[in-house]
Amino acid sequence: VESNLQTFPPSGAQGKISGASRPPRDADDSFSKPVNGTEELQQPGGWLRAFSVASYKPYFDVDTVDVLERIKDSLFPFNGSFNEKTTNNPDLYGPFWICTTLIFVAASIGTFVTYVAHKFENKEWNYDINIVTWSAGLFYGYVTLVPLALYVILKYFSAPSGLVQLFCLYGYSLFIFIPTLCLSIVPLEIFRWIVAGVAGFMSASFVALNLRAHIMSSGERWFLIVAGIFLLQLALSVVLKMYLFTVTF
Amino acid sequence: MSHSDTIPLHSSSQSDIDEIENLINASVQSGPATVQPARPPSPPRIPVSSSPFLQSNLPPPSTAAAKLPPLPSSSAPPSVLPATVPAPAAQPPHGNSAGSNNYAASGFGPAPNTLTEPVWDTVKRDLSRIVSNLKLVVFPNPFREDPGKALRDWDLWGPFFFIVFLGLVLSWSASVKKSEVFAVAFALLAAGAVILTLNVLLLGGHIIFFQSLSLLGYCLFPLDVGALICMLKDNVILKIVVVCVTLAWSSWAAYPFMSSAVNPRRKALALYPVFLMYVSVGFLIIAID
Repeated sequence: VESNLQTFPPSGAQGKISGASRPPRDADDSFSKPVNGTEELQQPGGWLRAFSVASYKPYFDVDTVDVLERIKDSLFPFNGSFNEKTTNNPDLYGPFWICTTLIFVAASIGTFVTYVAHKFENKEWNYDINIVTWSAGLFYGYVTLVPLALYVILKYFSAPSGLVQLFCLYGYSLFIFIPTLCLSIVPLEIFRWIVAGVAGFMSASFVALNLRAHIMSSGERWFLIVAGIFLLQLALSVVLKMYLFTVTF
Repeated sequence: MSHSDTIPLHSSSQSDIDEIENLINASVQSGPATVQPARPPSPPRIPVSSSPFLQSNLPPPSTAAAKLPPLPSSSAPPSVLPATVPAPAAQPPHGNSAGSNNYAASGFGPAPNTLTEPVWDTVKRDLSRIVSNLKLVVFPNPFREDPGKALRDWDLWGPFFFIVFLGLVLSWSASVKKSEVFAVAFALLAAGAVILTLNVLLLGGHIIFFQSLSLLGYCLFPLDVGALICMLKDNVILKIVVVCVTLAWSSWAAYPFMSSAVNPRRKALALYPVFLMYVSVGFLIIAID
């Protein structure tokens, strides 16, 4: 009783004194309000949910070992177990950070290659800041727009796949370009073309095989779609090779 | 107030209230000209009686400690009062520059004269906070007594200054497209800090958004120094060495904060993007000539 008086602010004590005529508060609280689970923040409802951080948390529910395992799967496309692992727990961590790493690696290696080439020819060289912005546009755009288009197409052909699974698939398929770009420092043109071709082929088959497993059961035009996806990925790798490593004077 | 209370006051509490009201009357006649604004509710550590006017009008703690009779044993002795009152987050521990600003330093109520104090005092207070945060974040002493201090006293002036400085140095070092270089550097650093924080939050980590922005900004200081050195001395080998050293220093400074914020199974997932951002900034420093 003494300590109640001594503490400040004594809001609890005053509430109990002045509100003595009301029923105890606990009963009202537990019966009238629904249980809010473990969220301490108020979650917005409806379309505003797209802007709250908490609504994207389920897509980042991966541990380090999970991410490493998925990356390893993407390097060996003919084993084909990627889809089973990610159907129930697709993650957006991998796609986003693989893209970002790719942008950085592409920008730095592209810069380094043009620097070496210019120095070889004794020409003046200036750092081209546009490489960073153009690579960002290319990679983020590819990983965002192509799965979106594919999602719409698959829905049209009644073989729906979750949008996040498609993002996940495309994001991890780009991983193989990172070692490819590192290898492309070697100044042999024919070597670069071979490396780009192999990487493009592996990446494209990764995407195609995983998609084929998904839509072969439900669609009739699956071959066209799969072939289209395959060619698109190959085209990406060709564009990459030409844009970053063609040295223009 | 006493008419609505049905709980009788302790016998010594009444004398406390009388004593303190006397002090209030005394200080009102001789105290500062401006009326102190009411203090926001303080945590219940402060053992004072129920008079609400108490906080803002108490004279300096040393005289209060001398004049108050010993309080009942259930409350802490008055000499503990100044120490237990937490300094408002804005006050650095050594902010006792001018005599009239002692109220701010003692932590009783908000700084009384922030509107009327000299500009130099305001600037000096902010600068000293930036310096103290910098020392805590970038030169951490493993034996320091309060490791969480930098986290509590975070501010955004320091990070802002360091980011702008780095952008400016890179822009000065560039020989062409200076404004684009500044824009890319600034956007990279600012967006990078925000994205890194979001990354930790999405991985289920516990971190306060602005605290993390503040820490990541302070950890940029070594790279600022490195960029300055690279601007002054334009040798590629030196640049690579300097950038590697400062990069390692920045990552080492950021490591404890980031790694303690997430689940240990996801530590690498949270740390890798930090490392990536610092490496890309370091690369930008080397490449710009």
